[in-house]
Amino acid sequence: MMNVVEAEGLTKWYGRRRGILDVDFAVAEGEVFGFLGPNGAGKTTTIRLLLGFLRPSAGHAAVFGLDCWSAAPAAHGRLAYVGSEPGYLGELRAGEQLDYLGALRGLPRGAWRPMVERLELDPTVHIRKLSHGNRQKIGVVQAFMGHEPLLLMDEPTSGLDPLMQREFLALVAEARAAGRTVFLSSHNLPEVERACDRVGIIREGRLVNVSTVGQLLGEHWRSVNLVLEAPPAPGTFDLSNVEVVAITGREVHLMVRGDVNPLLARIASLAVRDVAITTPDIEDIFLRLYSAPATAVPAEATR
Amino acid sequence: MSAAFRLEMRRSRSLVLWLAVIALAYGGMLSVFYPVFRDNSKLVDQYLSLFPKEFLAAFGMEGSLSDPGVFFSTYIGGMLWPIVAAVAGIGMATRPTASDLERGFLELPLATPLSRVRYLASAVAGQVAGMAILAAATVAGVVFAGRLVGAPFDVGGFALAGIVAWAFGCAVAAVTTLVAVVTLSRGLAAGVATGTLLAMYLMNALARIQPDLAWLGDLSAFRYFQATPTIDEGRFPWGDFSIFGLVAVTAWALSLWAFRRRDLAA
Repeated sequence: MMNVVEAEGLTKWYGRRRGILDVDFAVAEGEVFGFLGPNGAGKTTTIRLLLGFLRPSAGHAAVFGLDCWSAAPAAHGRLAYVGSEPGYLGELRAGEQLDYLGALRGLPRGAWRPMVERLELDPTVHIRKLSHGNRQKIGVVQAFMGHEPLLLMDEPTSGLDPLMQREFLALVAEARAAGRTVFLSSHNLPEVERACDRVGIIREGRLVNVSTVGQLLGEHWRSVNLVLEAPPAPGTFDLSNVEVVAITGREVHLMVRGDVNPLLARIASLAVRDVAITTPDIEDIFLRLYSAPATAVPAEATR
Repeated sequence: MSAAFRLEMRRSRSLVLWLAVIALAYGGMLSVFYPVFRDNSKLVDQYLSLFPKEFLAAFGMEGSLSDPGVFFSTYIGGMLWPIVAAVAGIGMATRPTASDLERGFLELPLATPLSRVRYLASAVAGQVAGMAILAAATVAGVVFAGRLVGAPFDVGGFALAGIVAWAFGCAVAAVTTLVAVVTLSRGLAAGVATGTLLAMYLMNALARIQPDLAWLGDLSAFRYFQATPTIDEGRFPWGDFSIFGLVAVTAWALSLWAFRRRDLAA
């Protein structure tokens, strides 16, 4: 499967200020790739480099094999973009702005109508009179009104209410089902967890982790709380991937990483009154990665 | 006609319309008053002789106000048109680049197959068209009102003066476009354009007042925007027109070159 988006050693300095440093990743065709990081980590800089708005200080980025800087218009013919705070022309009505941007993408007039109805946006209202959330809807409509094979989205759900966020996730799922590729920058962790196949985590301008959502969750510790009929014998939970956090009489708190079967076999040999296994959500993992020192992920692990 | 150009014209509509109404009304009003100056030339000259020559020179009054060339050069060429050209030029030149970047809109059209060069070229075409509309409105106001009050001006002379005024306005817009592209700051570009025009106006006035500072006049755009012989004699100032044209084309070309190559970040 071909790579739709590729970044190699991608670096951007704004004078002496750090943008991103030596970022490597690739997004395969039909994949939904989440790009996670807090404000200022370098998400928007990365997207602007992919859009050819910024010239890389070092490294290279390509979309469909087209250099993002020197062949930007050709690359733009195959992508749709929405930003975190999409600009608007207050003097225009929503439908007029969508028609203008549609015309630049070669779309027929009114191509936005199905999306506008789905997202319950009134296209006849002047944009300056719309709420922040409704303006954000214009950006989402604009991204999904065409059929470009790549969607580049920079925090597209900021300002959307929970119902619209759910609708957005449905749109992303439909895009994936249609074979489109999605690059989704976000700091909304549950959104990324639900929408994405793989996740890249950027910290202080460096990509610190790239893995599938499943790997990201599976490679981390799960919390196991047991209530036994009787206190366990010493050494009951001596397993290589198990850490005993606390044993208080009949109550046991363990942490397990990776394969849970050996632990389950030990638990099955005991008289158990209650058990609770908690999977860490992506937010826990994200915070754990952010509490560790920043180390760039090796290039071969990003593809 | 491209979508980008259509939008540019749509966005300039209010600005150009209101400035055209002002130019039309002001030009018409001066035409209506002109016969009073023409029929009372001695009284007017006597009145103006009370003022210091430096004062008159500062406002560009060189000659008798009963002469249509001097009259309209003073009140339109030296006052109304520079203001109209500055307001329109700054408005239309800063909006598609610096202003749209600051409001976050620029990235939307530029994330489509539209190239940066075509995007800015559409905006430049809008500036050219907007300035032409304003110059035509100014000339139309003078000529039509003149007909109404029995002061039949030479349409050809005023039309040629209008063409030079258009070239002057294009030069203002082009240089402002270049500053806006380089700085990507609407405030800075507008400030530089306004300050430069004011400085040039003062330099031109100083050059007229102080013969030993005459060289300052050569550095001023107003030195090359003298409509009197064009209106009176129908003589087209090819040299002055070429200077404005050269400045405009060079500044726009540099703007396109710089806009293609620079980072776009607010």
